[in-house]
Amino acid sequence: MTRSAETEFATLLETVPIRPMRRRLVRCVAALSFLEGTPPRFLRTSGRPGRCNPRDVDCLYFSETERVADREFHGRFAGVGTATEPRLTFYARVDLKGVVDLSLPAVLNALGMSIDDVLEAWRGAPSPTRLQRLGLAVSSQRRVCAIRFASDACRRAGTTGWNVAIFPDALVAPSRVWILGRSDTSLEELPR
Amino acid sequence: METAALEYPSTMVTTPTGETTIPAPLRRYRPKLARASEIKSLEQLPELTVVWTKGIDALLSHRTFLRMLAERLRATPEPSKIVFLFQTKTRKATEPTTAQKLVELFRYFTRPFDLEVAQGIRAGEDAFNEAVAKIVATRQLSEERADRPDHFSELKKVIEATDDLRAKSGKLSADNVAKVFGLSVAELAALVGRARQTASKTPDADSLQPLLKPFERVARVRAVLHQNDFRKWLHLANDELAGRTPLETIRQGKVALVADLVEDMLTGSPS
Repeated sequence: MTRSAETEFATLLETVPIRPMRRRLVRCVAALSFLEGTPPRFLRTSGRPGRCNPRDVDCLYFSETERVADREFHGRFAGVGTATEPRLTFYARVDLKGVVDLSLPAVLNALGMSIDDVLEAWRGAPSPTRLQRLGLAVSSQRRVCAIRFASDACRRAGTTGWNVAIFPDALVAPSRVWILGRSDTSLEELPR
Repeated sequence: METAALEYPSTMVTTPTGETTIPAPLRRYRPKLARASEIKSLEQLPELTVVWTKGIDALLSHRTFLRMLAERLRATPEPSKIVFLFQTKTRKATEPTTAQKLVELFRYFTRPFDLEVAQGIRAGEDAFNEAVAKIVATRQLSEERADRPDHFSELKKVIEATDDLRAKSGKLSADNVAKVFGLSVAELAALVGRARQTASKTPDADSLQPLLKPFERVARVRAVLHQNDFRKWLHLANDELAGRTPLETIRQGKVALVADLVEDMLTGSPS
């Protein structure tokens, strides 16, 4: 994919169908004595690439349900246990005004993408995948602040599930994200 | 934008047959000359290797040389690139057979993106400059990555899980890292681009610390996996590593890729 194709994504994001999202999202992490009550910065990609973000593009990933979050966490330990290991569950309450929903064929068509692009192997890829390039374009504008995409962990387990990638750089009011601690107290609110 | 002076990469010129000379545009990099027979004894390649030969047909006839070179590149951590410089131009460069021959050449290597081809000295100069720029940029990128926030370094469970990687001095030790990963010190030294003697003489040397850090990041998964399960995981084919095992990936010089995977595992970041 060329630089002009990246510019093409930037242009397509101006008109691609978007939807709002108001719901609770979930993420399971290993129980590693993280400090309670502090903003859980480790939920951010901190420079690491992810399915929807190339290296050095900040992103915050959550799953839509606890079942999907649990699959994302435990799926990677298949064959080596940890089923009994304690894990922590973080929740986020989100009110997002512009979400690109890649479950919708119309949205995929508008972006010139296919489900294969969404599920393409990204780790160690010699150049960013199409979905990562879409994420790069999202992080550089303000109309869209998140991407809803299929869970590859669920696909591998023979089920379906959905994840959401939120791009803090693209998040502006009135969109809001609250990362919640115990008793639903807000540990961090975005945008700051 | 300020232009910093380039720190030239370590460079070597070789040829599959007999003696070679240094191509003029490469002299400023002060390359070492190496005979084909010396390649096998190298623990790893320098950052830039130039193979100067007559043409692609001649090169392809030296299969043992190519296999040896490919094996050495595989054992060399990034950044490391090979430029194949052909003295004579192919008559019709657009011929499909030329492309097929290049495919045949690249098939020897597990890292085809680290290979460049140039025909003639002028094209060679451009290829050297491009390779050097990529090497320097990759180096700078990894230095920047070292400055990124580390959210795990002060967690009690993570400290406990990686405590046995450290020497009494509190610093990471090549001996201990090798033991935990089931590698020999010589192999670990090759993977981090240091001579075996260096790693053996002072296993917790300051110069080794940033090179051993990615191994520590991988070993953090032992905060949730017992040592036996960790070893098992190192040897299990992993969908997220294109079906390779974490250890195979590390042996390809991609320990940082495995370290990123471990952080995603611990933080449940979607696959």
